[in-house]
Amino acid sequence: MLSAVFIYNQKGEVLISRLYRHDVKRSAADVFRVHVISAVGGVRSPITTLGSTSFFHIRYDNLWLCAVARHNANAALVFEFLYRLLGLGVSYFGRFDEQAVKNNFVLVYELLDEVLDFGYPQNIEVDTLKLYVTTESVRTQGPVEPPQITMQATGAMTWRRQDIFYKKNEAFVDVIESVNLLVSAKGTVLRADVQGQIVMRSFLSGMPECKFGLNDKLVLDQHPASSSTSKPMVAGGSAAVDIADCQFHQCVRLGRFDVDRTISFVPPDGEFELMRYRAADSVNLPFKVLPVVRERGRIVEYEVLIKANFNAKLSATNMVVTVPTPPNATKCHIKVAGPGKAKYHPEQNAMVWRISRLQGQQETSLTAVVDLAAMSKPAPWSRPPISLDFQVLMFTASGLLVRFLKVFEKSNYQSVKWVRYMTKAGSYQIRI
Amino acid sequence: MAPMKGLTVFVADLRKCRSHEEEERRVNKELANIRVKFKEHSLNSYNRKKYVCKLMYMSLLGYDVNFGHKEAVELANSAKYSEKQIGYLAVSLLISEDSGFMRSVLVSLRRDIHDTNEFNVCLALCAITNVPTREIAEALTEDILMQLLSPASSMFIKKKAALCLLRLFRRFPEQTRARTWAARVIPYMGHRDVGVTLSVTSLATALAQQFPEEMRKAASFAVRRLKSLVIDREFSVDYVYYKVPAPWLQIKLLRLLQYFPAPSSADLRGQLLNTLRHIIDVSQDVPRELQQMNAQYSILFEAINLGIHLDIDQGLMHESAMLLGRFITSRETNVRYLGLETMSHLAAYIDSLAPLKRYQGVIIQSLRDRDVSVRRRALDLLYSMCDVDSAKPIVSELLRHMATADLALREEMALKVAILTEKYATEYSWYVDVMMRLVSLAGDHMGDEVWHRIVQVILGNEELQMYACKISLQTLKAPVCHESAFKVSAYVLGEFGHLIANASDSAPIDQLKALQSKMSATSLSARAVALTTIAKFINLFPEIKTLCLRVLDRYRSALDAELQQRACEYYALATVESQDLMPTVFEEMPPFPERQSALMSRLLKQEGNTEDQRTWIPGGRDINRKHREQNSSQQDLQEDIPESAAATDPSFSEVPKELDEQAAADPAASALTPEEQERIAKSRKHYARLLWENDGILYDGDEIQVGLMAQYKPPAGRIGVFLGNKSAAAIYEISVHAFIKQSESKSVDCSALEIQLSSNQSSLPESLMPMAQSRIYFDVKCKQMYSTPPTLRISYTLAGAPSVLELQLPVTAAHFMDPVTISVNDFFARWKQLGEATVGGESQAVLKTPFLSSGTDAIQWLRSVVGGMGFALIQGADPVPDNLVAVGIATAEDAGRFGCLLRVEPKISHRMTRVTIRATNETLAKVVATNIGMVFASH
Repeated sequence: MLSAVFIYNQKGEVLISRLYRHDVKRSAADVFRVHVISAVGGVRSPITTLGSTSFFHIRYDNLWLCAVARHNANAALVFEFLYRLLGLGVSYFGRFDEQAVKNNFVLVYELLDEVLDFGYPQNIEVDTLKLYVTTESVRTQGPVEPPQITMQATGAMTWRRQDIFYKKNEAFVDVIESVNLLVSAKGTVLRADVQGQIVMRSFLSGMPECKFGLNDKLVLDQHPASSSTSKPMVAGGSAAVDIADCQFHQCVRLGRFDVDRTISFVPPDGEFELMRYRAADSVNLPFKVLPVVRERGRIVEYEVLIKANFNAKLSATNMVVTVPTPPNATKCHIKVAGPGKAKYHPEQNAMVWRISRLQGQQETSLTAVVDLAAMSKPAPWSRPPISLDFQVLMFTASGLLVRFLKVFEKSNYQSVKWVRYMTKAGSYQIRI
Repeated sequence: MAPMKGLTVFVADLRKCRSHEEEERRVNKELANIRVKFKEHSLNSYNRKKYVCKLMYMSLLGYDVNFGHKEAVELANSAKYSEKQIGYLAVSLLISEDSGFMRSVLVSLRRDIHDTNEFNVCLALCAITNVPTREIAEALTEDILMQLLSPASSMFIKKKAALCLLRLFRRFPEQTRARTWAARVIPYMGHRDVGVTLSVTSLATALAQQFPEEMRKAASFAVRRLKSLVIDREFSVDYVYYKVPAPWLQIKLLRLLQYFPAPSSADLRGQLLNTLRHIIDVSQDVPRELQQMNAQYSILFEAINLGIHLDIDQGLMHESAMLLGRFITSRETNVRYLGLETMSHLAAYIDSLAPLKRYQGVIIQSLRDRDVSVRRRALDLLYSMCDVDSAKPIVSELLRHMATADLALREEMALKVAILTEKYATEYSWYVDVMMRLVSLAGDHMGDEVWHRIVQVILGNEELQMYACKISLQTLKAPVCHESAFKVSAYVLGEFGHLIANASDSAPIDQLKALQSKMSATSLSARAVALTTIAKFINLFPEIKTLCLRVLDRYRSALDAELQQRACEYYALATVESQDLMPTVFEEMPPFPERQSALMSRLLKQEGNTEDQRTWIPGGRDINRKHREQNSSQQDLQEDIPESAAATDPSFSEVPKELDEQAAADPAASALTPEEQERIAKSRKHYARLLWENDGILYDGDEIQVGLMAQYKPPAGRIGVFLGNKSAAAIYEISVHAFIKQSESKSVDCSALEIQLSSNQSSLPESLMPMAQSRIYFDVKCKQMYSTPPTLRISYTLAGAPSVLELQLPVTAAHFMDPVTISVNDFFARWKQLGEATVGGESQAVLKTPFLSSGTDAIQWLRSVVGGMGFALIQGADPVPDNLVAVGIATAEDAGRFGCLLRVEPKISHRMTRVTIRATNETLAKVVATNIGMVFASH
């Protein structure tokens, strides 16, 4: 498995170097720095194999996290581990950046010792780790309870302590979706899919058993009676959604999901990601973009119309539309009819159009004339796509709904549940 | 350059950027800013300079800068020095050679070269050196040459001009027309300033490789200059580098001399020898300082190389060998490397290898050197110094070393061992033993050529076969058998297994078992060879037929298509009820025809091209002599007949001046209009047609048409030239005159062909009316074989304007050819005889022949071409029906008669034709090859 884990800062200086096996030397860190971090033109692949050593890296903030393997390691597993490591860092230090690592060298090494053993991933659950890898120095006052830690770390349910108690039992469910879209210049949709994530925050006492229901097409088709009772609430799409590629938190009982697609689990305490999914069929596109771009000799004319394609009661916030300009643009004359302001940003070779709020069913448009400079070697413009960034609350592009969340506990207490939906832009691009 | 704040700030900004993306954003912003500024047209000089500098910086960082070139050119055009400086810098950095902007730069370059301010001249020369374009080479070469030659120009301009010329010449040898001025730069090698001499010597070295004839005088200048430096010690103190006077100049001079033969005058030769000896004497004591050592050694090695090249003084050679012997044991890796390299140069020329053999042990030691380049050189040297006596120890040493040698070296080593073994084998057993060991040891690291060659050699030598069989069987029975060794063994047993069938332990059944035992562990290609062997066994040993058939049967269902096909076909062959089918199909292979060993060509192919031509290649004396001859003959061909290139490469498009009077009249007109090109193509076609037909049109222009009618009675002939007036007006003052172009290098050709106006005929009329025709006859007589066809010069006046037309006459040595009919057996006997003989020559060319697509028509046409060229076709000589085999005899009055055998092998599927000519005269073979090449190219 993994032979080493390195953490670099942005310049490629090694902050953390932890070797797990003897098949790599400390100098492997330099190899990665030379060939990947300081490589001319940058390296795009997250996996770089140099000789018989593979380097898996992710970038976060101003850090490079790099795992090294000499054998044919499972790449998906390695990346999952790296992202978990990242999450661990965030939850321990608040922010996981160069400063945080520098301030907590000892802790980082301690964590790395804990989560990997001879290169094999071990328990990486934040809550469990926080029990015995503590940020403050542990003062010995009275007897500690080592038996409990042992039970928790080795027990069947590593993610939850036994003795949790809340006065008010609450559970929050956030459905966060990001829409990926690619539309050709002629207006045909080349790619449209949704990547969703259900994040839960549970503040529940005892050992609650939760059951979670979505408007999953397979479930609803199995019980046609129940589908008729549930009504679509937010999205105007079909009642049932075809969910694919489900990935669950380890607390979910996969056996039961496989049998009848019910999601039942004992939640960890606090925030965790319950599941991830993907939906590719019948995506409700939140925005319609109609661009017209004409190149006329030394000028380029733009007309871009955007229409919000969702319920008029909802609204999109923090919209940013990036309209690329030719690399030899000199001046842009921009007019916006409707909400938003646009400005030419030469460093991005684009006009950036910011719309702070766009109500559902509302329209806004931009017209611009861009002057071009003469080129020494006439080269055609590559016409990169227009890209959008936005947030729409209480809207799911896939049409997914939470049908129910039931909590069963021995003491049979009442619990309050909250559900929130949000759709963000993934890569939302329209070719021109 | 005055400091520019904006630029400094910008550079500092970029350096502060922590990531690539950040830097890119900053650059994009700056580019946008500059675009706006340039569009405003109201820039002052300071700002324009600043922005162009920023653009240069961004371009150097690798960003695409696609504007601002106009501003750079404007700066270059400016009268101010500071603007000009930045302008030229920007031009050489930003603008590529093929950009249209270079044309506008040309104007300012020309102006600046003639400027009185020598700083401007220097700027222009530097800019040219950085971005030389074709146009600059054409337009400015003369001006730059003037700067070099003019007495008024200062020393540093001369230096720069010489280097600028060097660059232009290397880049565009055609456009600079260096042949015309090459000789004029030589005197500057004697310039009192060492810097000028150094630059001019560099230029001269480049020129000498191309035009040794023109540059002949450079040798004497170089010798004198060397002498004054080394012996008379005339140099300024400034040029002494760690006690060595002007080492770079010395090295350059020594290297230049290596491109010339030894000086003929005794005086010069004496001076040169003295100088060399002096250099070698001085180097006897080892200097202590590193820099001095480097300088002294580099001079010494060049001196030794020159000594070897001159090959005039055996004493010097032996002394060099002694010195080199000391170097190859030096502790310095570089010195060892140079010592070994120079020693292999020495081995390539020295008469007796005795002085080198003393160091054989040391050299073999060097094969184990820590440095891989040293090991490589040691291998080269061993290969070069090998001869009959030392072959055995060297080969066994190399073989011993093979197992431990590093992988990069093994392939080359294996090749060299194979070549040496074949070349110096005195006993058959030794050859077979060594080769079998070689393939077992290094089989993974060599191509198929090696084992193919072994099989070829064994097939070719009957005495070898028996022994080879025994060894093969032994190899197969050994516990481990390498794949290549398996292939050789399988093949040999299949062919000659019967020779040892009667001995004990090697009965047919044993052979089959040995083969089978190893077969399962080998690769598919080796198994395919084994299957063929088993099929041959069925033929050789009917007693084990059933066993063999069982094996074949098993492979009939093999997964690999090749194996399956072989097995099925052999099985079917063996089971057909026919007495003589098997013996016919599996008849013993005839010996392979002797060709150049594939190993040699592979080895030579590995040699790469470097900047300066090498004057030698690793290998013994013979191969170097051949190499030299080849080089010189190549040069001859290039000088004498431009068409020879066309023979080898039909797409060759150089314009022969003889065929086009306009190109001859105006050499500067390089860009030919399409019509002109078409006409040249047409006249080539006419010429090519007349190479195999006696009558036809030679030239068809707008004004005049020239026809030809030839009758040959070797060695004499009569050529009728017909002139037709195609213009609307009368042509006056016609004179027709045929001669042989004087070429400087070959005086033989001039007397080889006699061509004169026939005596008893009426002279040409005063004028030729429109549409009228007139004719004139020439008598030709071939004295010797020659390669340059004669030239026909027609001069006339049309409408008051005199014109000259020069045409190449299709009267080549190959025209004096008579067909002869000989029997097929005779033909092959002679063919073989000529292939082995040392006199005469062979010419072979593989030509692209797209016309072959028409199939049988094309073959018919080929027959008529060969017939038209004076050859007699021999029917049924070649097993492939499309191949043509023909014989002719060329006659020259003085030199006698020369036989010429021709073989044309068209490959319709590839649209290629291989033409092989073997003649008792080398020139004849070449001429025939050239002619056929031209005919094919223009069909």
